Amino acid sequence: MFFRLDSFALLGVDALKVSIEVHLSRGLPGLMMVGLPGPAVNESRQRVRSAILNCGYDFPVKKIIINLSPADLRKEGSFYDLPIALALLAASGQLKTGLAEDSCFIGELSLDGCINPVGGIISMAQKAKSLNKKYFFVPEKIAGQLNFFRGLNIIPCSNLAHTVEILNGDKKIGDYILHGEFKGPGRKRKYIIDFSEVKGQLKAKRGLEIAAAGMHNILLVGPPGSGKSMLARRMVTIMPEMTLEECVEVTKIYSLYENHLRGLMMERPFRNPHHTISRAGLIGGGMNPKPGDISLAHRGILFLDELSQFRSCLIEDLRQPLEDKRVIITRNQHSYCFPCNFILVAATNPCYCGYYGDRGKKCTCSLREIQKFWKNFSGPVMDRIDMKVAVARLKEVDFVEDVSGECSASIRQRTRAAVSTQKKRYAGMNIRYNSEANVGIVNDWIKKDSELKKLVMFAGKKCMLTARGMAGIIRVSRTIADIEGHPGIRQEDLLEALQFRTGNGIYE
Amino acid sequence: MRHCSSGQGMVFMNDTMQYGGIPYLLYYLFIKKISQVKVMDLLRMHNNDLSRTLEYLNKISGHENEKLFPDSGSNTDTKNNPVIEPEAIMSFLNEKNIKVITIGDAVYPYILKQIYAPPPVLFYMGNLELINNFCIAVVGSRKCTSYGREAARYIAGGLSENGITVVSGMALGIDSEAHMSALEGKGKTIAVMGCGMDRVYPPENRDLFSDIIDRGLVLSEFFPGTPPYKNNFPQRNRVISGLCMGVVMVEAGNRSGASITCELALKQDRDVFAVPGNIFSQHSMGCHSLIKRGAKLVDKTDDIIEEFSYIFKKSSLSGTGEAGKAPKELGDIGESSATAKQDNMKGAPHEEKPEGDGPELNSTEKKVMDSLGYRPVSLERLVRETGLHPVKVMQALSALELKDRVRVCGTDCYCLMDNME
Repeated sequence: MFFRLDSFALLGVDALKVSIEVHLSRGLPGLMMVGLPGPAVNESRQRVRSAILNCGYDFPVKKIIINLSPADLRKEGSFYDLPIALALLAASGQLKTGLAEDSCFIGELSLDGCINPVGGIISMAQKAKSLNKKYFFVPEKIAGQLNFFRGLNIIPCSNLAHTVEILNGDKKIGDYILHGEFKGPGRKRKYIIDFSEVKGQLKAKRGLEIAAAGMHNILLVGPPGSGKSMLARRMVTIMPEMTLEECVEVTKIYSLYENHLRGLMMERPFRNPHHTISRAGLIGGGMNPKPGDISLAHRGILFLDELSQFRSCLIEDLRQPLEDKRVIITRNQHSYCFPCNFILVAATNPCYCGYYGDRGKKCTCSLREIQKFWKNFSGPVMDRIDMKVAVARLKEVDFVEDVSGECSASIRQRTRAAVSTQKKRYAGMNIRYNSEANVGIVNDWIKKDSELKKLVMFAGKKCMLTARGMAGIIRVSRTIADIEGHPGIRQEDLLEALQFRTGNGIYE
Repeated sequence: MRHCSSGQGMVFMNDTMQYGGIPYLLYYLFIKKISQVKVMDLLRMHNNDLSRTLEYLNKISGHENEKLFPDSGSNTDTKNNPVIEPEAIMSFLNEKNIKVITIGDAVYPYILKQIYAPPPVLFYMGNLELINNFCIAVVGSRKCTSYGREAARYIAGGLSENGITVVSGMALGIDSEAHMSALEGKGKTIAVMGCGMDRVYPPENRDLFSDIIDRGLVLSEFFPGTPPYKNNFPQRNRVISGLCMGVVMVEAGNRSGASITCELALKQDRDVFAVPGNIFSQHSMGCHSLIKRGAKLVDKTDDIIEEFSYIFKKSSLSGTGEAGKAPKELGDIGESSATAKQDNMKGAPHEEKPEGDGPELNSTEKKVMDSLGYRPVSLERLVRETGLHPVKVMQALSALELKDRVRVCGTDCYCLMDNME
């Protein structure tokens, strides 16, 4: 009267095998669950009992012990319902055990036996494949996430009775294997917003294009109403498409956050947290750690609007993730690692009143207030922002003028080309984009061209740039050269990059 | 009250005149809080004899006359006044390394005595000899443009090279620039503070403060410990203008502390000079309104010096003063002597042809230059006017900026470099 089934636990984005053991013995009827079940797991006994009864099976009138092994790992979540129910049925002789032993299961049960979606199935499928399992039973509604997955038979199942029938051989398992066709991230994308809607702002638009092509962090500084948020929101539309690998990475994180994902995430995420966001909300955390906004923005954009309003400790918290491209959250039992390789797009006013340097309105801040305003921004974080762009308010003339800018699709062609150039350049290295190039690589770029080197030195002195600031400018000019299709950085590229330096119309 | 009871007669008076009476004068001014004007009136009443004045004050400061003193008996301001007894004052000042001169001292500047209500005492640190030099005040607003900074360096540096001492208020912006460049020259600099000498305000100027103490002079009429209350500053400004024969306003908006200084200078019968700026700039409005009212427009140091030719002709300074057109010192304002030499070769900026011959400009850069003026324009407008691709315009702008032809002014706006060829 014993049966064992395999399922999974989630540790951050990684899955871990968990065995569900059921033992039925004689004694006072009752159900006991051991192996550190969390509240949601403990409640599953009620769902399982109702689901079994409502599907027309018998709930064993025995002393039932359920063990979740490894027993010292705390189990959270509602996705053990299906494996527990199946193990109970198998132990009580209502389910044939042959197929079940080669399979693993995940799913939350409704009281009527329907199977509800859960998070993290891509990580689990990867784990199942490495365990050499044959079948992986997943909730039907979210099976689309695994369309791309090869090397494991995915069985989407909609309710408990259906699953039991398959396992018992009443229905042929071969008929139910997922044969989803996966088209890959498409090139034809439709957005309701487009870059051509932004009038004027030539410099900012070009800046965002460069940032998108080289994954540079960018700061937009401008008075209220200058269109900083409008520009930032449209940046996703000019970023190159994600590769399949990137789609999977992003979906793995998102499925922890959103249970009902029907398929892979194909669009680069755009996260725009309000400045009142908590630390755990931004970085990730909680007793049972969940990804924060920086991880949800992985491979996409983290847009911090009104950067000055964010508590300075939140901005400081970004230092390490910006450098490592991942965040490690340690709790007493385990360390959880969430990737967070995003472009930081920050927008801020130039001072408290918002009009410092504006042409029309006069700034009412004192010099000291302006200095205080800029002191709030952490130096190390500002150092990691390669590009700074001043965004001015449009004049009425510019509004009226009917010159629509370049549309997102044609800008995207350039960024796509620049990204593939970078891919070739960094093949075999553990970086992908120019923004990740370290000082050694940066020096190599300018070493060969003595004229360029001279210009770099001169510009650095003239514009009073720090070494780190200068390296940022060179990285940006490398991306410009990639966009323009130059094999080496030309002087013009560096000159253009200088327009995006610190202190160019922005308070230093 | 124990030192001040009137019954003690001559013994008491001897006490009073220790250190030339300074402790008691300070005691009455800062602890008993008799106003500076009242003290000056009393001095005048006693034919400028400090000892008699103090004797009189001692006499009337008995209990029965308590009402005469704003601070009658209870010392409310002990927080900012660490000493409350005259005997302790001198050791307190010594401890802080702060020295003091009174209006009775010979070294007290004659021209400062001429103003309405000169400060009866001045605290100082640094080289007191500077106080009787020929002084010119260089003032301006805290929020300034790069042009203002440049102009302050140019004017203050030039004055100092000519042996003129530059006086200013050690505020951020124009004041700091003026002090810094003047310190490098012969004339050195005097900073007049708006708070007690034992604190540095603004704190950003910590280094400048100690530099000026080392090589220049820092003055304050406020008792050590006085915080930088905002109404201290206009009061302080009268000392700045009072110490000087003239005041130069470098860059200031319409309502600023610098314009208060200039108003005071006019009342004190000093000469007022103003450095012109861009007519579209908010930051030069104050200077322009001074010029409209008759202040002398200054675009080189000699414009100031020639106003005082009656002083400078016979002195050793006259040589450089008359050299006039291309004074050597103008080039030395910048930090590196190598670039300064080049500037010397070129001569003063004003002698240059306004349109540059620009051998290094390529065609795009020339085109962009043609569309630029002294009035700031946006990148969008430049693109529209030149018909060039925005990327090309941006490249040209960076190149021109590196060649000192163009500067960024305000948010995403460009204009021609004002002061250069």
